[in-house]
Amino acid sequence: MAESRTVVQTRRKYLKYIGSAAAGVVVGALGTYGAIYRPPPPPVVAPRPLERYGGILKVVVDGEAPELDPQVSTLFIAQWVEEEMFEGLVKFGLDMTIAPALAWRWQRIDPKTFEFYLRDNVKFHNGRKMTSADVKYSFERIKDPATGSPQNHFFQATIDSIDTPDDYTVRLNLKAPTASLLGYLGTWGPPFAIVCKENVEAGESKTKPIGTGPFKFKEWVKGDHITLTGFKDYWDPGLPYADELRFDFQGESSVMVSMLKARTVDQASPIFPTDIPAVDTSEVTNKVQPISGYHWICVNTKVKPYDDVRVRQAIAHAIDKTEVTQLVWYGLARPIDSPLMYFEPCYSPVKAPEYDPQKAKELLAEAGYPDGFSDTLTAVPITEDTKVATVAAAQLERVGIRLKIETPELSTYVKIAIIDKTFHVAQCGNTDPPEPDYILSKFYETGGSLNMANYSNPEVDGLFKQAREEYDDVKRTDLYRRIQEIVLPDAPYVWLENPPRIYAWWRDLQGYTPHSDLSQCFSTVWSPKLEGR
Amino acid sequence: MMGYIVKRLLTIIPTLVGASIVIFSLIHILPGDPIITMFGKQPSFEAIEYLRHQYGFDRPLYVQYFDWVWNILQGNFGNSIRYGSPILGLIMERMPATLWLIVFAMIVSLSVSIPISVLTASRPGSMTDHAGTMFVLIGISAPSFWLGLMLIMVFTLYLRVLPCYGFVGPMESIPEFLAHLALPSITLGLLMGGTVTRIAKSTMVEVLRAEYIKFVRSKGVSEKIVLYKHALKNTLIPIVTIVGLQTGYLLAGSVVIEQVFGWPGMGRLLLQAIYTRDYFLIQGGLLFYCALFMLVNLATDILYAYVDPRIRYE
Repeated sequence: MAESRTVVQTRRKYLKYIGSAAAGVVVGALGTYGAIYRPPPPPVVAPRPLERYGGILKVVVDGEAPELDPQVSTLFIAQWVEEEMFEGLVKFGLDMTIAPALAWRWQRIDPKTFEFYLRDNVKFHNGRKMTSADVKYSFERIKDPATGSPQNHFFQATIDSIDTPDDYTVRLNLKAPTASLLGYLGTWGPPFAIVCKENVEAGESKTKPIGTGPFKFKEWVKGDHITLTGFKDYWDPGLPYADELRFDFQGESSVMVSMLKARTVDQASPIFPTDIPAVDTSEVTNKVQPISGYHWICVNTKVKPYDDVRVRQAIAHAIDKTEVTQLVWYGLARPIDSPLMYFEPCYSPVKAPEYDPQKAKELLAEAGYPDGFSDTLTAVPITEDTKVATVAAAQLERVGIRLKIETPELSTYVKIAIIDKTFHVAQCGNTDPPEPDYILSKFYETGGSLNMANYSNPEVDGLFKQAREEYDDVKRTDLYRRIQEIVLPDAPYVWLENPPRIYAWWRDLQGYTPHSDLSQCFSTVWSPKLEGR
Repeated sequence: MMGYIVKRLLTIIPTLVGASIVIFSLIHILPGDPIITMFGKQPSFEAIEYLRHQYGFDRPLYVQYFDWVWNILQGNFGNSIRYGSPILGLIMERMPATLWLIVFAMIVSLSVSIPISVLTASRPGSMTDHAGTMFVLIGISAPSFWLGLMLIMVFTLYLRVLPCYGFVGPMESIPEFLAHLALPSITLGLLMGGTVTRIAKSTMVEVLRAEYIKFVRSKGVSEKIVLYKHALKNTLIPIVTIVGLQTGYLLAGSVVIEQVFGWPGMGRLLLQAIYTRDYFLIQGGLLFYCALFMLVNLATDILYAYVDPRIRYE
């Protein structure tokens, strides 16, 4: 007998239910899969031609690293060695934008949460795989004051907690929106390096470091050289080209040039401008590379007469920056009005008080010093800095401000000028990662780490806070422009010049590109004429 | 003799105590401390305070001093704040290079100054005498780094016969070892040679005027034997004295020479330690130098007893 209508209808109803339920399950599964599924890291570049491999690459740097722990180092001479052995989550590319390093992708989940997706083929030099737990360990080590990391303050103020939802994902929960986060994390050094827990706990992180970079530590002959060997399990297969990388230490530029010309080393930096002709031959070439470094003169606004804005402006008007670049750098430096450079993010041109010695004298007279006054200029005891200070002091003397130059030894300088701030007028220099908040806030914000002038302006502080939380680059640029337009007429700092760094190397070296953020990636450098080939 | 040696060894202890107080005070008078220097132009004020407290640099000075001395007495020189490694290890690592430098500098100095002093003393007023005097003047007045750089210019850059940089251990290659040692030890040796020549020559002149020399000459002995066998032996006491004292000069002078020649010795280590205010390393290293200097002076005094049979120690 044919099925009654009710049975068919019921069957259809059930089929409909089952069908929609099944459809729902399939859609739900696909949806969840889509939400959690992340495509794997893109395949890395195919292996390079065999002819590039082999040899010992020898370079000379202008000093011996005191330690090789990237989270603690503050000196370039240490960081040039560390950058070959360590990496951070991100780095700055040649075009000064953030590029992937150990994290191949990242996203901002919400204004206070960043997620980083790590490569899954990264190994430490001891063979162990790197996971998100290592990132968490490394960042917490920076946050721990006992480590002595200069980045401690930034992490304490910025990071609330770190989560590791899986082995290759790191989530940073911030205390407030922080637009400068990626810029800090990408700093050359790298100060936010991912370190190896066993290495730190064995107490060897300063002397026998273990990282994830293309070269691994081989030996450190104190006072002579540091040798690194190529790391065969580097996550970018095919790199590095050289078998070994050796750093020699030599403080004298002229001795460095001799070592280069005799091919005791293949590359040397920094070279003085006066030595450029010696490194511009058929065999050796050089590059005058703009970097984010600068010099300045500042006054201590807590000391008379520098609490009077007219005196400060007089000083600013008395300095001829072009003359400084001519006399100290033979025209190779650029005069600047700000520590934020044209090739750095959020740059906008701003105007500082111009060179006008007549106006300087008028302002001094107005402030009650028609015949000027005498004081002391505390300068950094490094050749270029002292030269800059000498030129500036001579210019100030033309308007009646007679400064006696004092160059205490570096530790003493740091105490007088940076920690205790007992100086009156000081000269200093610095180099920065290309991150505008880092560059400007340390000078202009109340309590900034390099706020030698003791400058304090609540309006500026408020603008800094706003800029930190502003993710839109256009708005950020505008905020930093406004900050500088308030501070520059106040003239607590006189920004002098942006000197280049000069690198020299043998012409047969391929793949060597000096970088504006000071990094020198030796992993991509090769030459058929290296020692050992 | 043994009793004398033991007594002298015992007097080293209070001298070292006095030296330790001087060293400690001098270093702490310098402004700055290792933590501040470590951070340089990137101070993180909270971390600085925390670390200063951890190392105990915020305690009163006398507390820090006694703490250090107590550790030394237990054989613990502490760890270098900058390098993180034990100081005794660092000193032992770098001491051989400095010792080689000092020993060879002394050899150079003596091999140059003794012949010159003999020659100039035996020909007073001649051209040799004037040349010798000039050598002495240069040795005493020339700055060590200038002499070092001059030698580098001649032998490394122009003649290309000697290296100007670095150290190769004697275990690795004797020719390389000697080649690298040549310029630094010659520089230091020539500088010290000036002073030794001066003392040796004036003593020699005095000895040559003595009665017994006239007697030996009247016996018909050749001048060479008179000078080198009879006269020289009697000038040894002042020479040994000056060599002992000059060890201190050499230890100090080696600091500059090590910088110029990139020599990885104690001097360079100490110089770096002073720049970075690595308190424990400076204190430990200087104390080591003091002890070394005192032991060399003890050896000098013992040597007297062998050089001059008239000297007896109780």
